[in-house]
Amino acid sequence: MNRNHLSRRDFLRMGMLGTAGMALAACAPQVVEKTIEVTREVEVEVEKEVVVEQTVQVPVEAGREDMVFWPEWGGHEADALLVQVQKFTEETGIIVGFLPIRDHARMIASMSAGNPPDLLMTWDANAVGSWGFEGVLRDLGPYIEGTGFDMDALHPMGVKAGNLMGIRQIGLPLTNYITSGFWWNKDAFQAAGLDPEKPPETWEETWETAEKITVLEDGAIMKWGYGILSGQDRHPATMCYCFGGSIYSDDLRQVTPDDEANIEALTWMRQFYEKYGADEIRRWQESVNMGADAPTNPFYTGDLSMVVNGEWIPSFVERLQGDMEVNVGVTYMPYPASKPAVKGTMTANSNPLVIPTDAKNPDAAFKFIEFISRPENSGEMCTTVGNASPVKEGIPIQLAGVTSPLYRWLLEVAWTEGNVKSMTLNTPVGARYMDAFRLAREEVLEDGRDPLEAMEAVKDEIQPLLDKALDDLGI
Amino acid sequence: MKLASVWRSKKVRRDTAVALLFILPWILGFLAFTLYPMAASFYYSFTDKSIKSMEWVGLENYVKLFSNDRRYFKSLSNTVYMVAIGVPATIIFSFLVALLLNAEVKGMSAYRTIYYLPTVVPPVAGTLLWMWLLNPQRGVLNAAIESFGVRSPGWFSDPTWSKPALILMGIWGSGQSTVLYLAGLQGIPTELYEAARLDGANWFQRTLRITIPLISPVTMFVLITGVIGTFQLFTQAFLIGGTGDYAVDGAPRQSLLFYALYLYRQAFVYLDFGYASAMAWILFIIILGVTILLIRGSTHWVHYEA
Repeated sequence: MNRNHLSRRDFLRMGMLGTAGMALAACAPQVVEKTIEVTREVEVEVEKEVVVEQTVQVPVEAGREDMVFWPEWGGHEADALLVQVQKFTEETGIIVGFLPIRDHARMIASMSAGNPPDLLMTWDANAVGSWGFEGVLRDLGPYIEGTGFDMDALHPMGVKAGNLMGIRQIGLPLTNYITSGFWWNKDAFQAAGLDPEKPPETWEETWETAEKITVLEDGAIMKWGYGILSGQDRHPATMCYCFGGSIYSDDLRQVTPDDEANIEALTWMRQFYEKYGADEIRRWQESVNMGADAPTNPFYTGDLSMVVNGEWIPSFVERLQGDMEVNVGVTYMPYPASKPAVKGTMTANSNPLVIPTDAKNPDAAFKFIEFISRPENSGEMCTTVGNASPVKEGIPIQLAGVTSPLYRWLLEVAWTEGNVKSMTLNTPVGARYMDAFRLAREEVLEDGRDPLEAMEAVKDEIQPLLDKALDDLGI
Repeated sequence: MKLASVWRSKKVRRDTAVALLFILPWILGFLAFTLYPMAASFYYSFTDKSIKSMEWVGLENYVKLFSNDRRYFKSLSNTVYMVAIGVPATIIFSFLVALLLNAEVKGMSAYRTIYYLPTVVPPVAGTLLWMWLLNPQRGVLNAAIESFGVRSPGWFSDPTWSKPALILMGIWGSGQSTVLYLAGLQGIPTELYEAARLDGANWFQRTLRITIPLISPVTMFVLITGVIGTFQLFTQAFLIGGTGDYAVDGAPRQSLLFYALYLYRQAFVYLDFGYASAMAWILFIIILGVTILLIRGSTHWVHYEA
């Protein structure tokens, strides 16, 4: 039979053959010559035995990844980390699949599906705690013991942030950062007739100073003395700690929102809302860009005189200095005049490195943790990132290269002499607790609800959840 | 011819097999990425599913939702507000703009393009743009309002104005509905208008008696898709209302705490996937119920005959 058209059967046959061909082609190994430079110590026999360093080219199988690392960083921070990852590969020969990502959802999905990376780093130490209680992160204890990893070499704040109620160490810090320095704009102080070199020391002085600087126009805030809840004081722990209060008992088994000092903190904050009005304060907050990288940030321009912010500020101030004059200072957080022992309190947090339970190559992941925890590596990376090295000996290395007096003060004075408290205290109900606290705080500040009553309600809501969660976990 | 006798035909069987083969990729995708997740989430809604752990809890999640979660009802009422006010406002605006764009005016293509352009702006960029436009101190809109000597609203800083501001944003991006209306308007036979004119009907009467009834299938479509989309409102509220470690969700004062935003927090911050699944199923039932009501009710006001 003379066939002048393609039959359906032939068409399908050809289609399937084509698909199979493409699939086979995709599966074929790539033949790509790739090498990495590895510095090895080799023994060379000459007249006497000596050890010399030799750089050799080690062939690497294309597409090979010995471990996968997802850091929740981007920009210059991810670049600084990548430099260390490359150094790690050069030293160990371990190829790292390095993929910076920017959302928790993907991390959670990967762990839920049982296909996570070998190493994770997130800026949100609180999230890591809740993942740890879910059992999807490895206990690093056996690795720490097995390798003789020196935990005393780390600042205790970063260790605490990666600890689950003393029962498990699920994270080790990649960097630490102070979240609550008390920043003041010297030019704004001078313009208000105040001594630009003398920031307030107590919360009482802070209120008085803020009142002197604040300028209203028809009730609207034009110049703001203290940026209430516009910086890191939004985190409940910050103001509680800096008034001598607490958010948990020492063993983390009791929530303590109704701590007497917390009530003092709320009462102090409420003064602003009573005097200037919640609507005006929110309106001001909505109007300004508080981004640390924004040249229009009112703290840089002098429209805001005092704010609680973190140790990333110096690096942004340095970058802006060429284009604008930013004359600011940083000091310890204020303290209540009646509690001088609280002086020097600051809060801090860490970027923890964690190994998921289903990691394919946890040993390599821990090797990287060991590598980045060496003072020279940690110091080098943290200087670029603008955070503090979590390794005690890393800070002197950072100081050698630091030019900013602000950053120098944070590293040299705050981290060594300050009472630096961890903002992250891991319990199974951390996120719910902080949300409940913030909602109650809104009612206290904006609606005039009695602070003690509001905080007791938070305790009544959260404590049973914590008790149940600890029972379920058998802790 | 009976089905059984048709099926006996070798050609029919072969053709069916070939057809199935061609739609197999879609079937597999549907089973793996739609049906299975739906079935799984239905099962999870009766458990305390978290990242890994999962235990059967029966109806506990549903009971808790309706008896012990004030924020759930806040998120539901905020969402219903947007559906009840935002969707009709968008429909009315789209229809009026379509009427204008249907006029025979020089340069109409340019006007149509201008009105449609906001639709192609990604939601994130559009939201950031509106946050600037509505900035209480520096925003263009507020400057215009204050030029009349009136104090402008705080928009996204004021719980009273935050939802209306979001509706305003929605109206700005309603180009797609406008295009649908425009297509509908151009399908209305001109003879009907001519006859009405001869009978002495004015513009308002022609619009009320001819345009609105004949455009009702488009209104129905825009209404249903608008209701479904608004019940799932997320991106804009996520950007404006803030979420994360430092902010209270749905700021200011939970006025932008929408259903999907609260569901996200339950799942990815509190890691309570069981509870979030129960929320998702209730939302599904609400949307299904509202859609059925709209379709049933449409017999009274939607006219398919031209």
